[in-house]
Amino acid sequence: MSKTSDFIAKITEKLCHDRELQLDVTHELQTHLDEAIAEYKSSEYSEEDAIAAAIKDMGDAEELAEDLWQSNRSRMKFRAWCWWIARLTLWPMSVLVTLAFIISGIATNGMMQEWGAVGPNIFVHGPAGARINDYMLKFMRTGMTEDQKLIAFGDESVSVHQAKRWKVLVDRWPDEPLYQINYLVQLIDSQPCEIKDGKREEIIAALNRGRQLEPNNGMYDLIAGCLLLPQVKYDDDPLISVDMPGSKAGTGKLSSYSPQLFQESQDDNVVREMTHYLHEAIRHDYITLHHFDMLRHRMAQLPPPRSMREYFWRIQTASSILLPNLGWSRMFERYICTSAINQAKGGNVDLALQWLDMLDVLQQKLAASSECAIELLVVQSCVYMNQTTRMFVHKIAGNQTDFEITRKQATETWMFYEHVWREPIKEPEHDDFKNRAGVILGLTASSMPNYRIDPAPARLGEYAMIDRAILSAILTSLVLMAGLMSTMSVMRMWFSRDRDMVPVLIWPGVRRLVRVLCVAGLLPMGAYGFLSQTPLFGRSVGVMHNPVLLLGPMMIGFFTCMLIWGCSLETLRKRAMEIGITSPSRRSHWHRLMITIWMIWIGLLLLFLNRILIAPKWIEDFAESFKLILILVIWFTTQCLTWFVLGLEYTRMRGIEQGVSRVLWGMICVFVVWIAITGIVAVAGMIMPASMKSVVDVMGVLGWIAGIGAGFWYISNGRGTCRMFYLSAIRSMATVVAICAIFLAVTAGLSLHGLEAHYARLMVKQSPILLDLEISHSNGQLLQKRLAGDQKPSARMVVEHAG
Amino acid sequence: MALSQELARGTVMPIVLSLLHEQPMYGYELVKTVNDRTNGVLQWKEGTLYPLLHKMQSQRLIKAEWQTAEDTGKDRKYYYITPKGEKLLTESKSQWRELSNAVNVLLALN
Repeated sequence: MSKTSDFIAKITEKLCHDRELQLDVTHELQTHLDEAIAEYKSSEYSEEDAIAAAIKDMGDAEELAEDLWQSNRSRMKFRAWCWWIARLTLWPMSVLVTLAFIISGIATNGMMQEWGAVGPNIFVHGPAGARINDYMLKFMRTGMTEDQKLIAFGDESVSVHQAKRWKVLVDRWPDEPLYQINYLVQLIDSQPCEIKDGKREEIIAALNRGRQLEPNNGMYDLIAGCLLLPQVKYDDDPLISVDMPGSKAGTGKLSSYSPQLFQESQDDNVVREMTHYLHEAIRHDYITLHHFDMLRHRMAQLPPPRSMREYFWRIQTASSILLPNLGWSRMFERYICTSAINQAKGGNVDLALQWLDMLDVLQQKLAASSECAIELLVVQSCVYMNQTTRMFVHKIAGNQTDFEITRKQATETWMFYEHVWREPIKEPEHDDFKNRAGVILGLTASSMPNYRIDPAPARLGEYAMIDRAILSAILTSLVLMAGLMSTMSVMRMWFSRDRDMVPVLIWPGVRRLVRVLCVAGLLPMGAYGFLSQTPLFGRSVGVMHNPVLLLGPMMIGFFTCMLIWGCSLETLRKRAMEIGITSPSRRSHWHRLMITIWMIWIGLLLLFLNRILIAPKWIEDFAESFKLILILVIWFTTQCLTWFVLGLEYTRMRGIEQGVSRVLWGMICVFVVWIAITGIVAVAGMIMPASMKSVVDVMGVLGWIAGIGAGFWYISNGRGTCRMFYLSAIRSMATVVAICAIFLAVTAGLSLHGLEAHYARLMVKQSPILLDLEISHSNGQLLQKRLAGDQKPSARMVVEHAG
Repeated sequence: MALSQELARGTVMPIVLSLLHEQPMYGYELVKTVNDRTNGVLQWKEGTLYPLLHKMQSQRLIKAEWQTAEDTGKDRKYYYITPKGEKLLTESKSQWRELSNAVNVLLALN
């Protein structure tokens, strides 16, 4: 360094906490010395002597440094304190914040992995992590009314006897048939023959009340018939056997079947009464236990889930409803079928066939009202049992022709069952859907080959989550950037020496503090935000399957932030001063107006978009194309305003003449290049093979960069070269990139958490029933159609008063 | 003749304000003008001017702006007097007049 530089460095050493002040004083002293040296040289001093004389005239460097410090003491002290506090606290805080985020992120995202490990067999095990603690449960119940809690949880003071737990609903709303049948279901918790007398009376009373409240439901008569079932033991008839498909499922091999016989003779009165109730049951419009109506009603009382954990808890709660008494109807049918065999052996073939016909109707009505696959499976097994029984009745009666016909029918029925449950759905998009359907549906589909995923909700859930995460990232970045700039502007005005004119000094302390905050505080948060979207945290589908969808908007957001930050007023000023460019002239009213408009626009943008675009309900009401157009318009307008404002500042700083027109032409240049490149890329995308798609996308991004560069080149060349300016600006690029990336990552990560609730709500809206048991999503609907015949399903029972 | 520093110290601020009242000046110009007009009687330590200028800026007596000199094309930081500075200048002139009259009487210079 030269002597003058050394001298000046000594003078300004104590001003290190205020970089801009230090720079300003340096510049001023340097120009002073230059003029003094020039004057000495014009008086025929040599170079060295002129420098020495000029330095001598300035005075003692240490004294000067002390005087300068004293003159700016309060500012220096404040900045020094800020730095000391920041160094002391920010790094430990950032470590703590990072740990907290990582731990909570692992805990939350572990739900997805655990679900994957257990698989859809959740009604047996349930994910361990779905057990929510008392605090979460209490929090979940906070917004619920007393009635809602009662309906959702029953009488919570009762922990063991489920019937007592749910009796409270019957007592509270005695005329509600749904609660009555639910209570009845809870009463039936053992085999019919094991029910003790006291309980039997309770069940009969509940049955009678149910019949009064819901006269069209044949389930009450069916249960009444089931109550008569004695303890029964069965034997295979050793005299009759037929080879049929069945027990060795999927192997194609036949098994030997024999009709069932009672080990002990049965009371004819019991048989007669049971067939009477069977006759009564099939007389009604439908036969159902309204299991899922009650489930839906209970789930409807709960507040919308705020996390996947709460969603899993609902699944587990719902699974506890299933279906311990499904076996009753099968026991009943088995008894009737065996009784029919007895009748056939006793010569009453017509009566036997009549009973089997009634069982057909019973099965049709049960099938029509089945809502989940397991119900249908039970009905299917009963249908097969019925058909084989009919086959045996004909064999016993010696009707060979009818025997062959019914045997063929039973075989065809069995093969159809095999086809329905085992044959995977052969649709061209099905595998693709499975891969893109998201974690839960994807895993379900893997375990059930013919489970047909409805891609719309899965896509809606995952992609909407991604879209909104990106939007939130961009918008929140703008908020943070705008907030930073506003803060710096306010601080600058507060501490500036002259409020009327454009202040020369810029207050870098706040900026440095913010930088420390960004690096020390937000960097670990950003790391978490990025990591939470990777397989490391359990996200193996969705986001990682759509990198282009993620990358594209992130690049757009990155460049937006870059424009704002990298070309921000403060950085431009500093760079200009460092390389000796003229400091800016007074800002005109026109400039102030544009900046004001820009800040207002950003503010409105954030309020509007955050409220509207992030609110799921709104976005689902509008067409996708409208949303896309709106986003593009808003983004485009923001870009234009931002570039225009910053371009104006830039021309003002550079003293470029005709600043406004030059900026406008520069922007036109940018867009022309960009549109041209985009058009070329779009055409190339259509012509080139799919494998080249990523190359085409990269070309598009490069084209966009080229457009920006061209625009700035045009704007800058109004006055001399801008090479030095760009070179100095590039030095700050690393910080710019890091800060923008941090903002995007943090906001994306935080948005993801916020959107998890939305995803969980979408899942709840999709179905309150366990996903893997849905008939409508598999070939089961084919089976249901075949089994139900022309029987219509029961109408859903909806309770109006609660909620 | 070298002037007593103590005597000269209290005059620096009013002098700067007076010069800036005439026209905006940059630091080196201020020093040169003072030196030229007083024929070397007041020879300021050039460096010590700047801390004073900073102090006067913080007191909002003057304000500064960087400009490019048309003749040399070099950057110079010009200082301007503010209304507050004008007011202080007027008061300082009045006080100086009173003081100098009083001292003149005491030193039998009148």
